[in-house]
Amino acid sequence: MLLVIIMNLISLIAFISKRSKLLQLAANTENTEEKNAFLRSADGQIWKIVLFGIALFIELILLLMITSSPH
Amino acid sequence: MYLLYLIITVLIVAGALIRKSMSRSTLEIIHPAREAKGSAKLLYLRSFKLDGKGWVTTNTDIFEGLNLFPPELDLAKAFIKFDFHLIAVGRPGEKIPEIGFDRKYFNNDVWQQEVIKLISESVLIIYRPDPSDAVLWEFEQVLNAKASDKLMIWANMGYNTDIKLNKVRYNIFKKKAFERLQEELPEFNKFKGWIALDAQGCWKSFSGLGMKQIPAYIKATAGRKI
Repeated sequence: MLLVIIMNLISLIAFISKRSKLLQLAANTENTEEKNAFLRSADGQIWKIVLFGIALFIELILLLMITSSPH
Repeated sequence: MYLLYLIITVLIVAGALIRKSMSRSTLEIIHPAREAKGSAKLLYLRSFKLDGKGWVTTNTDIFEGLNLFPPELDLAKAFIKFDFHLIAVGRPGEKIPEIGFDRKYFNNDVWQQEVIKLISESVLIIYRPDPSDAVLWEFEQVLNAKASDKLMIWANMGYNTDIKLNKVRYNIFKKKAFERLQEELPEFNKFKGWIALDAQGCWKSFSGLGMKQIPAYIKATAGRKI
């Protein structure tokens, strides 16, 4: 369980860092076409971040339930 | 079960790191020997932005720092089996990751002349396109030197599985090449990453496996296998 949480957390951080890198590349690009492509790609990371964020949240709740269980 | 996944991941990472370090050390020994021997030159032209990196951003950013599978190193390995001296031009004082090629450093005043000289001296030129004007200048020099018959364009645009982004970047390069140099390059093809002149003298895309059918490759590698 803990391993899954760690792996999801790493993935989540990876998607967030990829998004910020793409936004940075977009900011440094002068070509409008290329800039738009970077921004589109950065937007494409949002659903992955949301999905992994929800999964991580559910896992944390489950972990909390398991650890707080009297048995 | 998850522990098993973790062990497999660790083994793959360790294996890739060992493989990379061994390839690098072998190439470091081979380059000076080939240079001293006067082996035929193979020139690699690319954007410094993509230097040492297969991909600028990847889906596996956690391992990006380790750069486990640098495709430029693999590219060098694919050509080192032939009697070539693999050369790439670098900026003096730079400290960037390994790319598998013997990097030659030139000052800002002379690098353009040196690149032109290397273009004419090389038997094979691998060109990695980029939308930047500096890289387009190198493509222009290859055409000016009438060396397009020894040119292989490696259309790896640096963004791994992000096909749309790679396509946009390639299309910008293609558009610029047509506007400035009147060269009609083929459409982006994610399965065919190599572009070269075919036997009829037209630009054509080739797959990685089909690379051996490229006339420039056949001509340059004939009788050079070690």
